[in-house]
Amino acid sequence: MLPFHVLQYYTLLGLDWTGPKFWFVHPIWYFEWLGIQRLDPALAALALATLLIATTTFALGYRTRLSAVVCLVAIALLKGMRDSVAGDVHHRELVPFAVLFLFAFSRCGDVDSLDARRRPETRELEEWESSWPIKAAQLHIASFYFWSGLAKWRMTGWDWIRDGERLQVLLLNRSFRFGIGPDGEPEGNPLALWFSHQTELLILLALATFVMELGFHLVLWMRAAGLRALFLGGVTLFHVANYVLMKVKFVFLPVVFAVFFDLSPLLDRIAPVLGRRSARGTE
Amino acid sequence: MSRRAVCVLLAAFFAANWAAAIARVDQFPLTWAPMYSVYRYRGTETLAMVRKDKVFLRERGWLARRRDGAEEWMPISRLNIPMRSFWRIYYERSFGSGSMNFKHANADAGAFDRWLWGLEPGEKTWVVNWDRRLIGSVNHTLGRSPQDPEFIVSLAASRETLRFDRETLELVGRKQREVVLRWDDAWRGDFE
Repeated sequence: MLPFHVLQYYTLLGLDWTGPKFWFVHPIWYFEWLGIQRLDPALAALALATLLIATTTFALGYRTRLSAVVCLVAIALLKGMRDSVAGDVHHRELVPFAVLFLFAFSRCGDVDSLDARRRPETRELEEWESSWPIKAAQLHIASFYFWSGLAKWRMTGWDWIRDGERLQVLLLNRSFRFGIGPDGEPEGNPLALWFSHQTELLILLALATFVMELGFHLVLWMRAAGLRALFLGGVTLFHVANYVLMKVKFVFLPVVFAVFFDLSPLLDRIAPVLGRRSARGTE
Repeated sequence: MSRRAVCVLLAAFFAANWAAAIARVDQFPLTWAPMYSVYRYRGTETLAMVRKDKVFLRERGWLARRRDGAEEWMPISRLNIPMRSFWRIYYERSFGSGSMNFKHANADAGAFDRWLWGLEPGEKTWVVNWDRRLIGSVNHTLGRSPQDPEFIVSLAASRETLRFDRETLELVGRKQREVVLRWDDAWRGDFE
């Protein structure tokens, strides 16, 4: 998640720490409650550094649950500072936030972690204790995509697909939002311009987006790992394409798809190298 | 946590998330819609795009008029915010456009949604006075109070819209639009 977080908040690092502290135009709801009215660039940089450190310690399993809580606080702070400036509320942190929230209540870090080395558990984990946060995260991720499809259907319906116009408008916007260069080419993304010419392809992509989002829950019933990998690979490609063509910063989100796969075979392979017990060995 | 406590936690977690999705609550960490879900098919022969001039925002930005009659430019460096935020404020909020969340909230989602929130057909959920918010924000940022002669009483913005042919995607027109946001002294309470 490190590159994911950096991509979300790096723009806050370019601000002048000694410069004016901007008064938010439209503070996020919890900033209003807390009375946080200004963007403090130094605090933003500190929060991002804290988030990156806490993400690393969470991955290593050092004070795992505390690290998850620190991540949650840092994300809420950074997101509030970024989004309150203009009143846009971006949704990119929703899934990582929910997954960390669930993990914070679980017994994650009790095995195969620095915490487990430091403080070996006397009681072994029961199956349900290790599986519930993963199952819940899977359901939440699938629901996240389903809501996206449902929202498009409720608010826009077939207009989202019709003539490929919706995607054409988005792609054209990304191509020309910085204007036209002296050579007549867009100052933005020329690849997006090429795609915006392909009307039939845009209709197909819009339709595929609908099918993928509304059908995401099916992945929960896919037994074959290959089929799951194929589906999630397709979704990953969707996010990569969104980033390349439209700078939609979900590009590193697919790392959360790790919760859909049993990683124990992989751990079995690397455990001897790390000199640790494998996940299977603890069962 | 006991098994029972986990069940209660998960029931509350998913109930909150799904209730938010059904009732269209769009407040982090709950949501119901992604950024680009609201759209109305135009079916027109041309498509319009607003040009975001980053150089202009770096060098000039808003043209601000002070209470003492003097004018000054308000480039991004004086506000100390990310460029993406500034172009949203300058090219969208200045011209009365809220964020995507505003568009989601204000889009009519049908009879059930209107009943749930007590709305009449066509009634907007969120109405914001952008003049008040933007001018107030700039003055607060610069540390100016309504009684100061340097207090900013208006902000002027301009933007260019490029129009493209839908078939060929060639540029077929440009249109310039100016807007002036004005302060009302009835809003002095925002500085107390």
